Amino acid sequence: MDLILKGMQNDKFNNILKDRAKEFVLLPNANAFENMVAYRKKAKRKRIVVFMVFLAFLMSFGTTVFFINNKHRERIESNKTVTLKSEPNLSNKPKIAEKIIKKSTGKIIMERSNKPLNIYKPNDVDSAPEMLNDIKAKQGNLNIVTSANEVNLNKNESIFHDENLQEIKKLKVYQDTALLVKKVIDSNNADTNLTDEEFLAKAINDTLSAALIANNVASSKINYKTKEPIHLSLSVFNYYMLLNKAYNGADNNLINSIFGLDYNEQANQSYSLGFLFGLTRKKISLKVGFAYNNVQFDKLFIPSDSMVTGANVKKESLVNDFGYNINVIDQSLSFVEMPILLGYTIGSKKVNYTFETGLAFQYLTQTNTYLLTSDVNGFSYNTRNDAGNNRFNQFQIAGQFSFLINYNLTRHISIYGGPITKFHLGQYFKQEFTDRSAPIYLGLNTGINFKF
Amino acid sequence: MQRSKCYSCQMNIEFKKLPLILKHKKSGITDHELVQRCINNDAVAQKMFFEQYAPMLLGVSFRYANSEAEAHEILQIGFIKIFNSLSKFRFESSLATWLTRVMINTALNYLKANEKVKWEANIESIYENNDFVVEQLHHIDLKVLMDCIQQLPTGYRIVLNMFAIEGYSHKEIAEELNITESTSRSQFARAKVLLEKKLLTLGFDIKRYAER
Repeated sequence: MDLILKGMQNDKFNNILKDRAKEFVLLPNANAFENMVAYRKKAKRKRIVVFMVFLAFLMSFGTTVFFINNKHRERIESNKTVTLKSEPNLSNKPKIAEKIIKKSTGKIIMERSNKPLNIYKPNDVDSAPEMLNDIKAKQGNLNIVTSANEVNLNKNESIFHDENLQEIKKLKVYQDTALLVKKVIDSNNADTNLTDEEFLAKAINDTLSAALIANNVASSKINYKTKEPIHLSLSVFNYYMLLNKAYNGADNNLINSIFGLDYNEQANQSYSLGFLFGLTRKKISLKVGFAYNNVQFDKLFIPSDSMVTGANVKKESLVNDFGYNINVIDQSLSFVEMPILLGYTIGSKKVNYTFETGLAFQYLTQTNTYLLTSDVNGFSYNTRNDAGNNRFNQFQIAGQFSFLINYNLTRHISIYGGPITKFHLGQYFKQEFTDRSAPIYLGLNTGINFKF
Repeated sequence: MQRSKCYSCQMNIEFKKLPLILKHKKSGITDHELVQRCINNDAVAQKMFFEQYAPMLLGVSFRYANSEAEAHEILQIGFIKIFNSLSKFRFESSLATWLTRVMINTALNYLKANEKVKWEANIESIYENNDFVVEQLHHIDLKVLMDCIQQLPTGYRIVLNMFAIEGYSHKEIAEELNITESTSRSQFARAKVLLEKKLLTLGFDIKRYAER
């Protein structure tokens, strides 16, 4: 009985405490909300900075990878040994390599009757005898090159003898392979990039070079088949915004009816200048850059007693005659922005087409307001900088989509142009102006692209 | 003057000054509309939201915090969390319940991060159900009662709040705080004893308050 009573009293205690606690409210500090908003903004900026740092890291990493990749390619190309201007006539010649073709990309591939010659990886020691057998089977009555200064065609002396097969080392195989390549070239009287001396010095006197040649021939082939290099590009661009449709404020209907003026805000002098760094692989490109934007709002009408009250404005006849307190202002905004764009390219080598889409992170740097006021003497302008105290959000995100026609002037330089559309995501105006819609831009995008 | 239609009643109202909007909104805007506007980063609505719920949530954070200043700090952190995750609220429970839950979690995380809470499992004293205390709980000044709760050691305070006021079970408390159920029970029992002592020391005042 005691336990039941105690339990009931416990419940009673809890219930009373609960009921009383629910009634308890405390008023927060007067500036608690403002502090919280400021803290949120700070946190948001911090996130943006972290994001920027991350992007910068990605860019640095991409650039490093590119240069390493590019250095490797240069090494291969500097060691390339064979260039034929025309296909050799091999009708009466040894059949070890029927075609040696220099591809337009600078890669070398050896083919025999449309089938690639078996070239073995340098570290594949076990395959050396197999390779020699392969070569031997195909070589027929090939002869050996014995000296750096002369090419002796000793018909009875073969490079590879059965009894020596087990003893031939890896580097020797590559040297011999290089010599065979040279022999085919010589026997066809074809032109080469290298003189005989250079070639043979590499092939015979410098065993490592010879190995490298064979290695590079092999890796060139592998690269050509499987790996597409990543290109770095720099693009300088300029957008001209031709059309800019912005908000239609409720008050302006009235002004329109009185003055017969266009009540739309229109930005007829918008432009953007900037540059982009890009990484391109196959048809996909990723670009990150920096740009300066200027938007000139023209014919914007706002009530005189709202945000521009502090300006030294005389409201005279224009205002009083019609009984409305209005001012006429022009406003110009300046943004710095960081576009991040993803592109897809189609078309031929000379002319191709790119679809690009992405985001531009914008930061408002300057807002100049030109107040057009009227008095008995006529119109006058007042200018003031409103940065930090204006209708526009400091941070903005814009989406953009463009179609570009690229014309390749050289292998490394191209020019491009095409339509671009840009639209603001999220809040363009501050919360007090949420009834207004953000502008949408339609413009012409032109630029020049350098590909490294 | 900026004119726009009210979200709630479609009336044209003047969006010039905040008090005007507040006056209007108090007459009819629903939680759903308010939340929707806050999700759309409407600063006016966010301020309204803050002004509407901050007193209640400050009351919650006050019960968990060691001091009033700490309660304000918890409130600020909690509201940042609330505004960041308001879009996740699906109106499956009442808004006040959800907000309270977020604030409790914020307070617990804050306390975990800022102090080492001692959890003592053995029950040394048992609450004796003093009828006088139970009765006087009705009459004691609310601020005094909450101050008494706030003066309890952190571990006791957390469990007392969660069990007696928020209605968590000891099992839920154990899972939430990563302690055993028996620890939770003992913390609650000791908290009640200590609270009772604190209230009894104020007995004279309570009696006097009750007589008025």
